[in-house]
Amino acid sequence: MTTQKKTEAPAAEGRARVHARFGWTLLLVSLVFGAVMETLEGFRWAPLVRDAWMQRLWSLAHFHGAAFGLLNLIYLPWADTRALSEGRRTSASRMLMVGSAAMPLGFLLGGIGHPEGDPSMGIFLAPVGALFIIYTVAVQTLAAWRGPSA
Amino acid sequence: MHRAMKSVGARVRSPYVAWGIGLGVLAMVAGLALRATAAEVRTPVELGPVPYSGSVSCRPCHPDHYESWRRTFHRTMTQEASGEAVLGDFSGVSFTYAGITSRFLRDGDRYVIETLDGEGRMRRQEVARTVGSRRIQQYLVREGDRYIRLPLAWDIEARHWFHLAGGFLDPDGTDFNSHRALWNANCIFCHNVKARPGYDWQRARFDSHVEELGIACEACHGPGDTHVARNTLPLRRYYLHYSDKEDPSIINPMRLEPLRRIQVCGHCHGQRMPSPLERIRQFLSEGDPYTAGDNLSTYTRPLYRESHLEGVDVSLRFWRDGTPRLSAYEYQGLLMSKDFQKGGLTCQHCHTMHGGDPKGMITQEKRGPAACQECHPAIVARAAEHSRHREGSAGTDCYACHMPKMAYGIMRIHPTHRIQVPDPSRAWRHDMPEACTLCHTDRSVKWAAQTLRKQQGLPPPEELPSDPAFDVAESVRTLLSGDVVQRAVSATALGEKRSATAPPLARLWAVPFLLQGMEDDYAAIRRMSWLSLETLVERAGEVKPAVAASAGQLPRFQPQAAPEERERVVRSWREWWAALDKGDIPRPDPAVPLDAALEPLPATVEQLLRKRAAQPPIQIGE
Repeated sequence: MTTQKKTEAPAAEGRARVHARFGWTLLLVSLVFGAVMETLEGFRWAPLVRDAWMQRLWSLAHFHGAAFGLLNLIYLPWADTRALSEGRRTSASRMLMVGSAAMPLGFLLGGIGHPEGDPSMGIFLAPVGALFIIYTVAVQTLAAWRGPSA
Repeated sequence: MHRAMKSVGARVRSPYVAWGIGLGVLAMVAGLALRATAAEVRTPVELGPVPYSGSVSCRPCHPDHYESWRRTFHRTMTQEASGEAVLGDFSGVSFTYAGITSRFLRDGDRYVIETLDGEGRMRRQEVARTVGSRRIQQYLVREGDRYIRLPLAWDIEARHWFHLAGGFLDPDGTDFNSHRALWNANCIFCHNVKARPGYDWQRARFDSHVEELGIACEACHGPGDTHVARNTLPLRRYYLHYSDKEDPSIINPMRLEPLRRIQVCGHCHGQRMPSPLERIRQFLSEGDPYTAGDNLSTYTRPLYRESHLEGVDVSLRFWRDGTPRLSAYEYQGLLMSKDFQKGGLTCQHCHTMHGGDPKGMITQEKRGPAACQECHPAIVARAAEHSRHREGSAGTDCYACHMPKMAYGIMRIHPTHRIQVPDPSRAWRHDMPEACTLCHTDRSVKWAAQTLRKQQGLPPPEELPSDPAFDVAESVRTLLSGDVVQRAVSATALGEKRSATAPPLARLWAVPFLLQGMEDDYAAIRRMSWLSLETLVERAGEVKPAVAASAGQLPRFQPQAAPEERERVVRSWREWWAALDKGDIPRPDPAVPLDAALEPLPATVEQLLRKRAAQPPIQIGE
């Protein structure tokens, strides 16, 4: 038992740190991207404002990036919840991070070089990312109902 | 054995294998779906029976194309009479033509024209629809089951009312109501999407419908209902986006072979008649059977100089060599051009529905040599040498020599769409304009023929006209003695910006001849002469302000004003010209019949006027 505690504690600590780094970085990147985009919109930068799809998809990329950055930061206390096995905690954590990156990236790429009226193929990353995030949220929801948390 | 079984079970439960199987199934389903989509896309769709879905259904998937079409004059060709659509002045103004004064009024939200009705009585008629939005706007009133186009229209650029006799080529004295026209059997076909006049031959009644007012997406792309329904599937859309396969549920004119492609435009920009002629009954009851992408020749054949239409002299619409001389015959012009016959040139090489200037549906680039560059790069690269004109001069403009302005339509002269090599002899062989003297307006066609041969290193032409009239500058000769379209072409050429004579003062010699044109018995010629005169004076005023200042005090000319009013204005302009200090106005070539005071030589003018050909009115198809 002592051995198990010794190995779990650094893993959980490491996971929280990874989420903190990832969350803050994603938030920073998304906010900078959003600020740049809004500035370009404010000055009516033609390549952006004349392409309604690009504008909409990039706004979604900015919004989802910022929201998922915050989600990763909020996730810190639940990263090592005892209601989940170590395997579940690891997969939930990875899924959240991959999903948090994939969804905004999907919107971002969907707005680049897209055919008229549709996003480009990159958009397929968005629903995949959404599934990953939903997986993490579902696992944590079940854990919250099932037993003790942190 | 038991251990082996357990091992397989454990392996299947492994997340990697589960993911692998899941992804494999997903890939298989996607592959099958793609295969089915590819098979569906390969299957042709017969568009004739497909319902129309309207331009609004195109917008969600084609926002850019929708917006680029929305700004065109095609969209606003026919509109319900709303505040946004009506461009004319309905503030209670009046306009008098041939002694009949019409009034244009608002009655609440309604637009009313007080003018002669079909029975010659003054009556208030409510405008139901508008036709046109670029150069002129015409007005339709509803009379029972039919829409009637009134003979009065609004000149959008000049911002005044006029009678359509001045827009069509009609001489003075034309009956006021001669241009009251039945929309349901005429304009309906080309100014809307898929018109069905719905004429009941037994009851002599119309029940007309169009799929969309104005010229919208489905006029060129065919009916869209199946296309809309099938493309609700994202997989189909992405398959089409990334495979570059043709969607059989819609027509993309750019993917049609050259003849079918130009037929999409030629359907309206090429006057035609039903084939066989008896098919007119079907046209008037069920509508034009043509759908974009069809072979137009299945239903109609283009009108040519040799065509026979009962009660109409079709030959008047063409120059004697068969080249169309009215607009809405661009299709025929292109069909007659070697560039189409041998090179597959299509309308879409130069024009676009989705870009450039809506005026002319052409990009700025294609207004210049870029239009010819694709097929004739070597010639364009050495345009000065090829044209034997100074580098950068108007003479190196491909259009000037190969598509000169010689087709009349909607009160303007347009470039011919029969692309030809310039040949001055056409002037005496076919009595038609030729490119050289449309720029070198102070020169005769004999000079043009001789100069061209000399430039080509050939001996002087043997075949030259013996008639001394051809010694006179061609623009003057045809303005005074040509038929009505020749006169229109000359009157325009004399004021045209593109000219062999660059200094504005050096072009003022044309003023007395344009004043002669302002006395023509066709309002259209008077108008064009006046516009050219105004342009020449305005440009001369830029280098010699005294010209513009003195002319600015003179009365303006109204081509459809009463004769005595017009005479008064022309007289005051003649007096102005006589009194003008012409010392610094360069003298034109001796081929221009002017004396030392730059006044026309009366004997020559008289002789030319006597040759003028009288012509019946020419109905313009567009």
